[in-house]
Amino acid sequence: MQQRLMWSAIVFGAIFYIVMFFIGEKSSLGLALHLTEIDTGLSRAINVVATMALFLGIINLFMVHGRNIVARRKEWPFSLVVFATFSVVTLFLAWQYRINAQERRLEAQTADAVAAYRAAFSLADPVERDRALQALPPEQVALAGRYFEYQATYRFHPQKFYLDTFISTLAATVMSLLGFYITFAAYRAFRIRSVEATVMMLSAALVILGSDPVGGWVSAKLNELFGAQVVNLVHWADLDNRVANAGMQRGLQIGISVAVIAVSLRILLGLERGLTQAPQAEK
Amino acid sequence: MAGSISSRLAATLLAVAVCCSAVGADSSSPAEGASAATGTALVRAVLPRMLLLVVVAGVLAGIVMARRGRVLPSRDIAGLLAFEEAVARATEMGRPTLFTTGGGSEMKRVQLFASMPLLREVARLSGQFGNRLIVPCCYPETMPVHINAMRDGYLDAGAIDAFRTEDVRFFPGGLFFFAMGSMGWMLEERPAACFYFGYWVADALLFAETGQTVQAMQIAGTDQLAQIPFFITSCDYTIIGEEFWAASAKLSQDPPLLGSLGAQDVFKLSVLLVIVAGCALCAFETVARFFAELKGAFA
Repeated sequence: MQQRLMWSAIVFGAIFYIVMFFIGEKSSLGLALHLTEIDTGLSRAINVVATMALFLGIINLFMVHGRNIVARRKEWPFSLVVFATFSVVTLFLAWQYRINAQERRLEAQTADAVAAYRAAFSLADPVERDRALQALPPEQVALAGRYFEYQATYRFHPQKFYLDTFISTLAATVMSLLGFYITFAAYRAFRIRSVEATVMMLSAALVILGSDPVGGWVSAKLNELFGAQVVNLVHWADLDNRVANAGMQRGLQIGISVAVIAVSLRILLGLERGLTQAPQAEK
Repeated sequence: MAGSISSRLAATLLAVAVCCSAVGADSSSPAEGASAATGTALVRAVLPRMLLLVVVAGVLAGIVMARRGRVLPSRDIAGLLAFEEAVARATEMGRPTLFTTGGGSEMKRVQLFASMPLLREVARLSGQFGNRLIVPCCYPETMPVHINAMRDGYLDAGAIDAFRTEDVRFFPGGLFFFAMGSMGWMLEERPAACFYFGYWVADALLFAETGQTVQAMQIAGTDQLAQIPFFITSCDYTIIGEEFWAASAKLSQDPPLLGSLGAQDVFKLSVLLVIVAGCALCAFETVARFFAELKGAFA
């Protein structure tokens, strides 16, 4: 039953989006069929389900980790860390929400005044500009001034602080690991284990030499040695990138594009195992 | 029964697509019409749709022909043949198997869904050999998809008792935090076989190198061209590009799926022919001039 429901949902969604793709939401028929509105409605429905799932997730998180702490299960201090982190992040977000609300309120109050001030200030002729600025009512100037003062003053943004201080730093740390890993991987790539590995190594050596000033120097020296312009590593590396590499990538992309359509169709028809077919033991 | 439903659904879908295409092309055509510019615009609007329809019709024809027993042969993929060996090796070593779809496989990625039959197969093998399968997961909404595929795999093997939901673990915080958490889990559990399939981004090498550190046999597959070199250098087997999309069909040996593979091959062959014909036409003038000059030289 569950499998059938899943399949029905997939088929309904697929048919709708196929219709939308082929007709086009901006075409006259698309507008007549209210495709955009249906799409928005579907997106909203997904948002509602996601929000419900979020709340369920929070409740589940509290129940699981709460039980861990109460029963003093193995590694229960980590559950305390979960609660502490959750509380700190929630506090930061609530604080940020309050700041954002204040900003929105101020923007709403001063929007007209700021627009009038900007319009006057944007005049090219200085005499006309001064006249237009002087013609503005004092209360509007005061409101615009309040807005600009607010913008110019430094304010602590908890969300930005949290993202910049913790998240970005930690993400950058993990990203920097990639540098080391790329070195290890490159070393492994340069080990000649088979014919394919040899071709890959030669190609990599050519690209490295061609992309480096050393490549030009080596080419010049070799040409001097041969007494003719026969070696041009920079050009060969470029050729490798533009012809061999690009041709291979385009070939793969053609294959991938066709395969994506075929797999999507197989999923849609319920032919793909692991998604819509019942397990063998249940049959 | 399922087959006939699929056929009818396929026919309906194709009819819907053809009708929509025709109606869409008609509704998007401008009222003034007739000019060359609008004609080109119309061709631009209709051509991709028609091309898509041709591919879809070809794939459906391949499926129908396969149902009638006519399947085009396709070569074996070494990485897929090594699935059993990898899980068996992990079982012999008394260490678990790991399967992950990576930090890029969000719910909207079709690569996630294309990987699920492979997860099911790995779960089936794990259930058959009595091995533990661990699955790190980056997005909460994809967890039920992973759990379902894994459960079905264990059910296929008749070893549902060995299936534990806790072995599908969610690591929150986005790509790098998922990678960090998973790497920690890998170092802790030391899996002897690692499978990386799906939509991979910057975390590909982080996983593959950690797998190397724990001396796991690694099989990877992605259609992300930028990540393929990393997998090739760090994994024992890499399933490249379109092979990844063919993997589930090759594993299941299901005739309709193999039929769709055959149709893809035919379409690719026709694209190749178009490319060759295009090259020949482009070169035609130059070749003709060359022969004219040659003729002039000998005249």
